[in-house]
Amino acid sequence: MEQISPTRMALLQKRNQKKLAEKGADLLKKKRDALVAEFFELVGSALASRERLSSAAKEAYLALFLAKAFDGPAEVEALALGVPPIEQVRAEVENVWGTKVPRFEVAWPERVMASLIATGGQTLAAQRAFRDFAEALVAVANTETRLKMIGEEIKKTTRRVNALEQVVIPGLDAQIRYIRQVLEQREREDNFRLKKIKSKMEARAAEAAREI
Amino acid sequence: MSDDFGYLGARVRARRAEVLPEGFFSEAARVGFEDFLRLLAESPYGDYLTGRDLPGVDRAVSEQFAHRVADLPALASGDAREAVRLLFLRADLANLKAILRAKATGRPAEEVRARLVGGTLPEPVLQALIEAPDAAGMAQALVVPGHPLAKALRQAAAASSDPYEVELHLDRAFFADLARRAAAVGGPFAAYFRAEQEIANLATAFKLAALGGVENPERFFLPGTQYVTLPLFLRVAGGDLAAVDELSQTPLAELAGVRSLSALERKARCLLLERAHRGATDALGPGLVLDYVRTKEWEGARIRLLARRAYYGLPPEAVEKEASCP
Repeated sequence: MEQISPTRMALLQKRNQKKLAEKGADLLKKKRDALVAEFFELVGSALASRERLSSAAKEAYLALFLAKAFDGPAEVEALALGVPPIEQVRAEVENVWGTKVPRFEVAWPERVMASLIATGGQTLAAQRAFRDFAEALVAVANTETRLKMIGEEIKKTTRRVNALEQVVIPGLDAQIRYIRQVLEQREREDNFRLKKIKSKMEARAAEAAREI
Repeated sequence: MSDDFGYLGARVRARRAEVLPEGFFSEAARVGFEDFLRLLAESPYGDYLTGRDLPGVDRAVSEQFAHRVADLPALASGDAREAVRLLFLRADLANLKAILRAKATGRPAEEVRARLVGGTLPEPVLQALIEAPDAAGMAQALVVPGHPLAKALRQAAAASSDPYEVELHLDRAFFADLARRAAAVGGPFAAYFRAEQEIANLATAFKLAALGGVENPERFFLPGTQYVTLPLFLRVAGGDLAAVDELSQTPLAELAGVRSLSALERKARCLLLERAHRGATDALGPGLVLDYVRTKEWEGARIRLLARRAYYGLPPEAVEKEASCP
């Protein structure tokens, strides 16, 4: 235990600290409950995003499979030459119960340069399917990053609550108990001393009365 | 012109013996990838099979096509050469568009080179096209060897500076030029290209319908088609897919009743193949070559499709409809 001066001032200080720690633990518990609620709400959408990603991937690769078979691998890959590079990926930071969570926004190219006349239908279908796949991938990145960060924050908050409830508050309790014991002991000693003085004074007064 | 085709016809008849029989495809549709590779290795594709993976199969198909089919224009001269060349112009169009796209998006030359397909353009011309600063420069590089697409590209570059519009103009000019040149040849050869143009219009209308409304859809229409007329094209492009049923009383009756682009492409593939087969009796014209070239293209597509089915372990039914023509 740290060096504590067992004074009334210290006792008041420790009591205030305990009150503050209890209030902090309450607030952290409320934050944790809110984060857990948010987490479970996100789990549903994360599962839906994963399912969408998996079906988009299946569709995209099947479309690519047919496009490469019928339109030829080189012609399909030549279409990719007309895909302008993604100009911007923006990460907006949202505040969820004090946790900074990024949300990715991709500026997808408006139009891929391919004439509809001579480009094979399977190739165009593959192109559309891969755009859906890329969008589903970003959606999964958004929900799973959010989920991961909220999960980390729940763990951190739980650790803090545990530290307050199991270490800080019991520590303060022990300190308060110690100060109180010391002060009570001091009070008892003072009482004893006063009683002793009083009895001595009474004995002296009785002796003086006898002499007179 | 019949003399021009005599030698070519003899060469094509000899090469037709190498066309894979239906038995190959029915067996290849049921086996795993290793057995598929074994089957392919025992076929005329075996000499070109270098890798034991999908890119290896794709390479074998394209190299076999380049050696046994794409060299046909070089075996003829004069008008016959020009007629046979029309069958390979589509690959030249694809190459021009790949180079145009790469210029618009700033891709390096090496990346473009890796994406180019066969075609009739010689290596120095392809290099000049890649090095040209813009579409007009590319048209200039095509003029020198007197390529049929030079005029189309020049017109496309003059019409717009938007790469998408240039590609669209190039496609329209390509089909117009192809129709004109094929009509000059006549016979089943011209009939095949007319059918191809009709189908291209119908497929474009389905693609537009899938996009759900595009401004000025008529600019995607290839003029000169007899059955897929502009009003029919606009109705289908506007989402009225049942309008296709109007083709039921025409030579394109097989296409009536289709309601999706994939179904249309499947039926159109078989219809065009059947039209090309009609050319097989045209021994003194380019019909025989047309039949051979399209048969080999279909063979390549089926090999690529069945290789993928085997590689990914899909059941035969998954590609059955796509891999055969009734």
